[in-house]
Amino acid sequence: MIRDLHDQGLGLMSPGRLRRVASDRLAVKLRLSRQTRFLRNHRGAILSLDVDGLSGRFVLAASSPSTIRIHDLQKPDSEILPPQFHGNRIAPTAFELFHECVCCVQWYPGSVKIITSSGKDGSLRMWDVCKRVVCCEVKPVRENRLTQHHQSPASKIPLVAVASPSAGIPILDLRFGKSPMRLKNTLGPVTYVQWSPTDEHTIASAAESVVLLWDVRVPSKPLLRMDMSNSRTPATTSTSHMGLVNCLEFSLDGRTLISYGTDNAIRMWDTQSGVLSDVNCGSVDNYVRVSVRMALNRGRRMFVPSRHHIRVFDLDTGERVHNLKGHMSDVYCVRYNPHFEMLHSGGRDRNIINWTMQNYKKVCTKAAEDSD
Amino acid sequence: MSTHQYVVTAHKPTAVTSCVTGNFTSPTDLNLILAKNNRLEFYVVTPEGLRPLKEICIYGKVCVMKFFRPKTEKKDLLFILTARYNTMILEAIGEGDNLEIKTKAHGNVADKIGKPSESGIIAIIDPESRAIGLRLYDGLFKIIPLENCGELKATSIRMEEIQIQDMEFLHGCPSPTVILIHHDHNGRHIKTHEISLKDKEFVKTPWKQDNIDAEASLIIPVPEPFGGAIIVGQETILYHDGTNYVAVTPPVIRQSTMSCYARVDSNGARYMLGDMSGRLFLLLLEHEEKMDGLQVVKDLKVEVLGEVSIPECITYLDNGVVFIGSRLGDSQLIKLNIKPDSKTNSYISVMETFTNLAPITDMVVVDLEKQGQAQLVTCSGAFKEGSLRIIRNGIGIQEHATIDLQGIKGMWPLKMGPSKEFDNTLVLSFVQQTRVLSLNGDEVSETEIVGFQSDCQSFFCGNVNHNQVLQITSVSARLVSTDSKQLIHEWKPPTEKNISVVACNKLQVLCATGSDLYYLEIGDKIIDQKAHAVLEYEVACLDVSLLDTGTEKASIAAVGLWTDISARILKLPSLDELNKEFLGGEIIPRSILVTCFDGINYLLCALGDGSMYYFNLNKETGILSEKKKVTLGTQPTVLRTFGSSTNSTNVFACSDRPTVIYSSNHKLVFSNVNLKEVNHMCSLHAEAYPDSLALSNDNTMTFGTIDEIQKLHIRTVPLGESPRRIAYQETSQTFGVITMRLDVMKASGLQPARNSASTLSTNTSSSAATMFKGAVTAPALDIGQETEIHNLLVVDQHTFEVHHCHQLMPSEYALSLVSARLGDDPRTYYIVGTALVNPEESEPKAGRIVVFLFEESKLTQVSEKEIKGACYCLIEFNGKLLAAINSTVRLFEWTTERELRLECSHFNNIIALFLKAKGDFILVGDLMRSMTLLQYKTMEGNFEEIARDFHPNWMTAVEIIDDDTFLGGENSYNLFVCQKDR
Repeated sequence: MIRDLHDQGLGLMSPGRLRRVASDRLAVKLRLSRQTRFLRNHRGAILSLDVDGLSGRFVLAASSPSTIRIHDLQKPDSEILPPQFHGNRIAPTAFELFHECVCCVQWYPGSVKIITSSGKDGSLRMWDVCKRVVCCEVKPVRENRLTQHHQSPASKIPLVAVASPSAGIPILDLRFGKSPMRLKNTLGPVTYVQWSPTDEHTIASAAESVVLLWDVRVPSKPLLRMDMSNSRTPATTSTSHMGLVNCLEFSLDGRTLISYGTDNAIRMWDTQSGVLSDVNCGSVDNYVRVSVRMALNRGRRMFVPSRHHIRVFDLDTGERVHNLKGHMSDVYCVRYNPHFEMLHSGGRDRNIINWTMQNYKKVCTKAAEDSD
Repeated sequence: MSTHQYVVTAHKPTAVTSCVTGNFTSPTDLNLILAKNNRLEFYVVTPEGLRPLKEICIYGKVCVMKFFRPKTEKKDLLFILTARYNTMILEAIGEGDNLEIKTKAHGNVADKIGKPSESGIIAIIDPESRAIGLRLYDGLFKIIPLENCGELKATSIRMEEIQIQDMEFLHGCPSPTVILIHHDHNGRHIKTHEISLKDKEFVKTPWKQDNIDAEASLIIPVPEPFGGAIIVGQETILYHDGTNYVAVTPPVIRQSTMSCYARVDSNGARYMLGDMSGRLFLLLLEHEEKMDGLQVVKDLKVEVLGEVSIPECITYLDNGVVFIGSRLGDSQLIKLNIKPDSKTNSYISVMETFTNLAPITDMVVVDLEKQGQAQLVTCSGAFKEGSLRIIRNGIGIQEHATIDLQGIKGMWPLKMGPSKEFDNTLVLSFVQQTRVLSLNGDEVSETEIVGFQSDCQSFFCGNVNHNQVLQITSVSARLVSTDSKQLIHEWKPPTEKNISVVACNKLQVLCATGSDLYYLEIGDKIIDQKAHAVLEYEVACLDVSLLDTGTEKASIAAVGLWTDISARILKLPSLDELNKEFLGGEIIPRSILVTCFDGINYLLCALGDGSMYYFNLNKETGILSEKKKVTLGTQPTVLRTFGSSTNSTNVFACSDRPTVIYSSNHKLVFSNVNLKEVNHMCSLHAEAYPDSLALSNDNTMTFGTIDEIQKLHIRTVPLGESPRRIAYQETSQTFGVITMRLDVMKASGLQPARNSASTLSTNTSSSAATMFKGAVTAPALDIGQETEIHNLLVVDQHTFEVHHCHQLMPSEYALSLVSARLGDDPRTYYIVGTALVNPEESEPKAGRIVVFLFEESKLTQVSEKEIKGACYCLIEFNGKLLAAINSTVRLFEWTTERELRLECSHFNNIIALFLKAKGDFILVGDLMRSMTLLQYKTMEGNFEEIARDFHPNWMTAVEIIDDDTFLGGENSYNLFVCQKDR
């Protein structure tokens, strides 16, 4: 770290690289934040979290049975307030929205005004956060619940892919509230969908134990079928995991797809060839039957929820570098906040925990010091 | 309260990030173009050296700058890519003063998404100018076709190679072909791709070569007739053209990483390579002709040319002259000689050096001469280019000639004989003597003017109306003809008293004998006494300068008096008093001047102690307003006006700290001159010295010209190793400097890689590793491996000699330095904060705070304190020591047993890097959490956090502007100001 800081001073290391290196190095310092604690009065388990991409300041949380909240990192303890307007720009403070049986929430990429949510009532909603109204509601799958959705961060068109127990993945265009296409042959009920962060056409899906990679321009059949045996010609019976796949994540450069299943395995796939990489993360306890969310920082660290722990791995070697203990029960979702180098996690114990690298002690007397 | 801050650049960027040569301004001009951060400098190469043509500024940081020449063009065009992915093609239009740089095409090639490459931005241009290739993001190659120049639009091509070290276009290919070095788990490989411009795709791979040098990092495309490319690695240099393959492992390039190259011949037979340690090599392609007439490369030869500044870029100009652009040190213009120097074995002679302050890692502002003129001492450069730079602000005098002459009491230029334009005579006045120098060309000889009285001191000499010269001595005023040099008329004061003070313009003369004041006017061959007045007290100084350039007669005069210390404005010709202003104090006025700057009239009155009052003057009523005082020096000051070529008025204040006074934006500016002492000055416009000044001090007289504007004057003290931190200690008159040098493991043990300030010091000491129980044992090094050694140097403030060098433990990094007085201890200590670095740990777990005393040119360690982390910053805080240690801010007391004792701490940071204090307030700059303001509660003995900036800024510096305003610097090159929320 000292060398890196000197090199930055000499112009030998770019600021961006320093950030990535520091983020990786200091990930082992992550601990419970005592300063930025969100109000702990969620009525149910935290099912989904998202950090806004513009400022990293607003954390969106969905908790069962049907609450959506926006928390403000700068005013963590604030009461749930109506949003405040400053001229044209809003400063959303913590407040609440209602979506029946909500299960997944996401910020509209590049905005702090719009969010999307999906619920077990079968509806996908787009909300105007300022006015707290639904500006678009779609029921893409007839008579069926939605389990998860994801909006493409790379596409210029607001495209949302939806996972539901019915076969097929509807792709919605939020501008029209319609479903212009549907990815077919998903090989069973879809548990997870994830868009590539770099390629607007690439989307990955998980159905039971099979991970598929799609090009949305070719909805009739998947581009690649990830095969854990790495055989050249995947058989129709080949699977990606031994159990249910309940989490997918792309690496930031879009070259690696990471899948996480109830067979306690984390697998990394090359998105070009579909080849399973030989990085071995070992056995990571995972028995939750719902979809969970893992997180990556901007460097080489991966944060994976495992029962009531969050395991921190090195992406390149698969080595476990840190373990975050703090939740009382299963962790469902982990999000990394690259702006503040913080980690947010939520789970069944109804808590949202912020993990920070800051070292905080309120009172520091000499006696406390000497014992340190 | 809303305040605004503004930033002014005092010195333009000096680090050269990129340089190119080509025919830019005209098909025949050879131009050198330098990119310095956001500035572009255009030079033309002449036999005399580099001549600057133009400088332009762009809104962006130049990342890549390259020349190319489309087939239809006679001149080269300049392609620039900025750090924010703006591209542009620039063209020079016009000549001479009308030279303009036009943007021919531009466009932004950024993607909304994509991961910026770890190995940086690569931009390449096809040698036949068909396309520009860019590698900005991993796995994507962007191509900009150059057929039609409008907006520059890039198309992305997917690349399977992710980690790309370097990339180039090959010469002599029917369609654009790139060659690249990429690496994967198995090592580094080279590969070529042919691009179809129509389909914007890679169509085929003409050839490739797997597993080349493991550290291969540089590709040099070779032009026709050879074609192919040279791949430079750490140990091998490889030539490959698809079929032919030559590899050499010359021993001279071992342990050097090549960072840049320049092509010498247009046929591509010779290249220059520069490495990270500043060595310059020549690479020669030996070729043979095959039976079918084809030229093929047979062998590669590498030769060391010598040592230069650590190069960032090299370009070959002409006739063996090479420009070395450096970012870590001074850039150089060098000449390659045919024969090596017999002593150094170097083929290089340096022709010119271009001062570069970057990178500045630390600095102090000091007032070494105790005259109120602050100087900046910076830690500049890195590695062998490390140096201290002493930067002074002021106006420069370029000395053209000096003559040793003692005791000059006054100087005046004269136009004698037929000369109308140029001054050809200089009158010098001494005690009891007046001497005349004649200036013929640049020859100076002593002469005589018959009509002058030469055996007494002159108070004034000068050309007046009707081709006459006036000399005023203590006895009389003498009018002399310029042609015959004979005395025409002489005026003596009616009383027998001696003349004590005079003032003159072309027509009017004021003479004072004690408290008698005579007003004279000069006519043709006559001096006419027009008025006489008796003032209250004796006259100390006088002035009858003209306020308006159009008139010949001044309507008012200014007088300074003894005893009551007053300045008075008198009406001319009646000598009636218009206004009286008491200056106060007991120091008599020594020089008074009425002048007009930017249309505003001023009265300047300099006192005997070096201070000066200035007023706005109403020339009708004589009323003085807006009295202000400024200290110019410590000695009696003489004010003189001189005109500069821009025709604005300037005033030169002669004293022990000469100052030029001028007006900018209707405000007076006092600018220091880079001279030690000036007693007298006059402006001189001689044939050999046009628009010059003659300046004298006790021993010499100097002719020189003055800079148009004030600028920075930089003095360099080379160290030969990286300076990191600097602190000034007034009591011992020294600077403490933390430096880092590289030592190399040799068979006999660790040896310094080169001689530098710390190895050449006569007094040395070191911290033995055994003294400290937390010490990390020095890592076992292989032979040839380098390790960093940190030192504390104590440097003399005047001579910049190293008095003492203290070497720290191996693997101990010195991070902070302060000179402080602690508690009741009267001594001032140098205190160093260190970290023991173990490369395997994510952050240092141990360190030291070491207290040193420098006394009688010896440095002794007084105390040391073990700490649990790296001490990034140390400051003195109300007699205590405040330290930033990893994530904590800790306050230490200095006990009577001369030990540091922890008093209290503050925790709420990720890494506390910077500290600044003002009163009880402490500003903390964090690695990634912006700034925090703490207050020390004396009663409770702890810190309270009173304000925090919540933005995730990665800090590089902090400063307290005032109690409510705080300045921060962050690592995306921005400054920001935070204000305390009330």
